[in-house]
Amino acid sequence: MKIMNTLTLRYLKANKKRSLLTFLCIMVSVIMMSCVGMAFSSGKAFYKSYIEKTVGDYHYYLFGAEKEVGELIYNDPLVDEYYKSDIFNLSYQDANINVLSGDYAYFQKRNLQDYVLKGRLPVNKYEILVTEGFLKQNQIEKNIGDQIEFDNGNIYTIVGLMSIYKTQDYFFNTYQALTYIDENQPIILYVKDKDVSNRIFDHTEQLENQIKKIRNTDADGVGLVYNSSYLAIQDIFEENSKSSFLNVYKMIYILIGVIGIISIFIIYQAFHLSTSNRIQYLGMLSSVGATPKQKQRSVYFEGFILTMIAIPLGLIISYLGLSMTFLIANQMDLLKNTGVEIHIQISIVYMIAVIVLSFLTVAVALYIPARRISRISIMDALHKNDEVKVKKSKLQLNSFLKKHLHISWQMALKNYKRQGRKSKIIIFSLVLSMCLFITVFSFSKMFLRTVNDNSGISDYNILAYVPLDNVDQINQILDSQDHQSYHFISHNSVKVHINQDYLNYQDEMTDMSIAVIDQKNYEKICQDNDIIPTKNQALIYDTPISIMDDNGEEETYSNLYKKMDKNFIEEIYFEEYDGENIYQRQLENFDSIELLHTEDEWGISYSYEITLLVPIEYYKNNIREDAAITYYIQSDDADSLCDELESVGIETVNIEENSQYARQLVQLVQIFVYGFVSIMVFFTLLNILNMMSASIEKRRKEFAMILSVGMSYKDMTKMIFIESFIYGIKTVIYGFPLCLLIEYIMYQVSPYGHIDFSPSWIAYIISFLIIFLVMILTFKVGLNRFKKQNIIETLKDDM
Amino acid sequence: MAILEVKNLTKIYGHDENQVVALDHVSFTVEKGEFIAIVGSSGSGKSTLLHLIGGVDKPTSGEVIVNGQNVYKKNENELAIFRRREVGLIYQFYNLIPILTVEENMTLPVLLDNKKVNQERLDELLRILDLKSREKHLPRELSGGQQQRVSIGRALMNAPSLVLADEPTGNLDSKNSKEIIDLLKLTQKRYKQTLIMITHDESIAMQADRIIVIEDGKIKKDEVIRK
Ligand SMILES: Nc1ncnc2c1ncn2[C@@H]1O[C@H](COP(=O)(O)OP(=O)(O)OP(=O)(O)O)[C@@H](O)[C@H]1O
Ligand SMILES: [Mg+2]
Repeated sequence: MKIMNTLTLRYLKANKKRSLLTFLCIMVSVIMMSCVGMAFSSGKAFYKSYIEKTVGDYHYYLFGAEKEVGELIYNDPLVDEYYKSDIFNLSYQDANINVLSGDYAYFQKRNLQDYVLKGRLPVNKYEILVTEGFLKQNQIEKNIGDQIEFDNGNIYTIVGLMSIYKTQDYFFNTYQALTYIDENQPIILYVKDKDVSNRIFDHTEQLENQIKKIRNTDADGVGLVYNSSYLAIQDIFEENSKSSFLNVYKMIYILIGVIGIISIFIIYQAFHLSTSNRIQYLGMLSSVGATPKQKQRSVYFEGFILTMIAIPLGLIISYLGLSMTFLIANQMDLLKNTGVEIHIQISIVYMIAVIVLSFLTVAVALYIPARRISRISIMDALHKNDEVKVKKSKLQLNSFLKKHLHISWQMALKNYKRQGRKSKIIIFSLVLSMCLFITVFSFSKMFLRTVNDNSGISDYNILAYVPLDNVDQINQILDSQDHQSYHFISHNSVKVHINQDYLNYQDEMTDMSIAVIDQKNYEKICQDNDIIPTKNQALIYDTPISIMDDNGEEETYSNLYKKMDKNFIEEIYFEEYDGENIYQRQLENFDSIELLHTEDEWGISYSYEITLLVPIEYYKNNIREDAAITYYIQSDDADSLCDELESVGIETVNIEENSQYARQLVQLVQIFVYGFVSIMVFFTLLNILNMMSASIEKRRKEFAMILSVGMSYKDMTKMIFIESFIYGIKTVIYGFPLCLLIEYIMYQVSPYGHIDFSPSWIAYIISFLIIFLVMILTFKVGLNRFKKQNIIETLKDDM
Repeated sequence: MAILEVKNLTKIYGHDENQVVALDHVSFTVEKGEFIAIVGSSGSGKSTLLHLIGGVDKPTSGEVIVNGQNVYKKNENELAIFRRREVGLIYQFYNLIPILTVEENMTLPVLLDNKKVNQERLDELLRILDLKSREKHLPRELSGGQQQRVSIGRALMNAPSLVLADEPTGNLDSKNSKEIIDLLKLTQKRYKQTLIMITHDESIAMQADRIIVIEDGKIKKDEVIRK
């Protein structure tokens, strides 16, 4: 037995390059599989603590919870933790401030102690902290310990000074004062359940029913809001959830699946190549009396040695690599600012799965050649006749080709044909590499798009709420300034009677949305669709809409409009609420309705009801005068523009800081994703290199012989180039539709499935280039070795 | 007692129009201790016959019986043990393992058997084969004749009862060739081995007890020249 092991080890050493490639293939497969898993779980953990820090670690909150509802929660055995908070406005001599209140637990959760500049946190509802700015701006000469009376008569004792507190939760507010919660008022109650699973939804349903009983009402909407990102990051989703997390997870699972399958193939292929190289010497061994068992054991021993080093090393490298990456990421300002660090997370189950999968693959990859080796006849093995035999007739070229093709073309074609089934395996492997690359590329593209869409990055940095009457005035201000752009969109809901003949949609009276957009964009939309703008028209995008039917099932209608020759609206009503009753006010009907053919680039159309885009004049003449319109403004100098707008009494929100922050986050994700794509390119290269160098090694002797009978290097290069070309073309022919299909499937599960599908052409071009280049390069390098080596050495060298 | 019986041995290569009948119903018997020379023109099927006797090829039909055991009824395992213990095959094209040294190549059948190498015998063989100074060399560092001698050494190392030699002196000069033939004859006598040797050299063939002439895969002549 020992001699066999010595032999194997020496064989590995003698074929250093091959062994190294086999080794690398296993290792990189392990690295890829473990890295995706570790990065996924680390990212999840990071995002979880990020949400905990910015939004909170609660599962849901109850808005406007009165004492009885509070009691319900406090005594609920299913509740793990709860904390209380409230937000309200106070004015001091007509200067408004936002006040945040909370209980001790809330202060702790939000690290509010860090905002206390002087003094201490409030301990009862008569104590308050205020910002120095508030005191200064309003020339209030008060100090810690003094009492302050607000316009509503509330008197507080100032117990400390604080810095301005900005939340990143759903309220996105800035607070200038902090006090203790007043439990006699309805409050916001943040709740964390004990059972962190889908049962949270059963629990909340129960709670909702109990709250309805307490409030003695049947109306839905008890003010329960889920912390859905926080739940989603812990794999908790509502039934039929449409969360973008689910889509991202699905994409990641597909990615893991693709990487897994390809890793299996690559490990298999690596061993397959390395054992078929050994076939001759195994033949020699058996000719002097090595038993099949001895031979098989030698094959397994080789695999065992390589795997035993490659798997742990792969795991260690992935661990170190990711740790390093995270370490660097943690040093970046961006992560430092969030105060959350990313740390490596290992899912033991996943890692064990990776190890078992790798081992199993190696075992299977070895079992098949080991069996083949013991079945092949010794004489065949000695003559290296392990190649699949191709019928001689298949090797014949037709006489036309024979006459007109240069000998290098003929040789290349024959070489390709001779490979028989093997050429199919090479092409299959190349196709897989291509698929892997394109899947990852496509995934990255979509992932980045999802991140971008959900990051809160916007193309505006100021929000302004402008009363309808002030629109002209504000437009003037904005138009007179340089370096800024703006647009506005506003929606209102209306009730509409429709003519049934015109719509593929059965409902006499239906809800619609009436939308208005700024004049510039309105005119542009009209122009793009060859419509003459009038003062009394409605424009409609033909986007599909999904409507919940009575059974709560969603139905999607596309191609909604049968014909558009006439206005299909018979009557249109606006619903108004005067504080007690809702009553309907009839609106002016439109002169015309036009269907738009361009893309809805502003996202005007809602997905659940028909949206009528109307000119601003119509809006002004028909909708409530006190309606406010939201302006989205992008300005180079957000601060001073905000000041200017505020000076004319317009409420503004400066979100410059938020979007800057989101942009940084996206950049960080991009760095990770591009790093991942680079690893993938490397892996693809490795696989092709492995395939090609194996094929060269096998044919070294043959090449030497061709050279020895006088083929020139130039013709030989040509021959090799042509062969590479044939492989490249074949790969493209098979790979292209397959990749398109995979990309299409990924697109379907992604959040963009319903939008137009566009293949990543760049990735296709890159992969074509990679395949051609690597094939030619490996052949070239192989050839150069011949140039240096003397031909007879190669001929003598049996392996 | 017959050590070897060959019955209706047939070997056909290829299919259909590419068919080559390398051996065509060959039958003969060999007694223990005999020295047989096989002669015949190139491509007549000599090597094929030898490979089939040595259990390294598979016949299309027919039987090979060595020491009363039907070689091709053995399973793979038994066949391997047969190859390593009962026959010593000297190939026309050496078949040395390129990553093993001379010494390792020669002792391979013993090592595969997990037995201890008989150092005395190894030294003796190395001396007679004139490989003493080359024992740590790799095959590719040897001349053709030296490689041939290593493969002879490998075949004789285990002192098998049946030695099959495919032109063992094909690459050697007359002095060397005489020594090799003497060595083969000597060990044959000493270990009561049976020696079957393919040769193109008439003078070597004449030293045999019996000459078998093969032509187109058939035995054309089978003549005992010495008792
Ligand atoms: N693997 C093979 N496939 C097809 N035909 C083969 C194969 N091996 C041998 N042959 C054919 O079988 C016949 C016998 O070959 P063999 O090697 O036994 O000849 P030989 O008598 O040893 O010749 P030489 O004296 O030249 O060594 C030859 O015609 C040869 O072409
Ligand atoms: Mg021969």
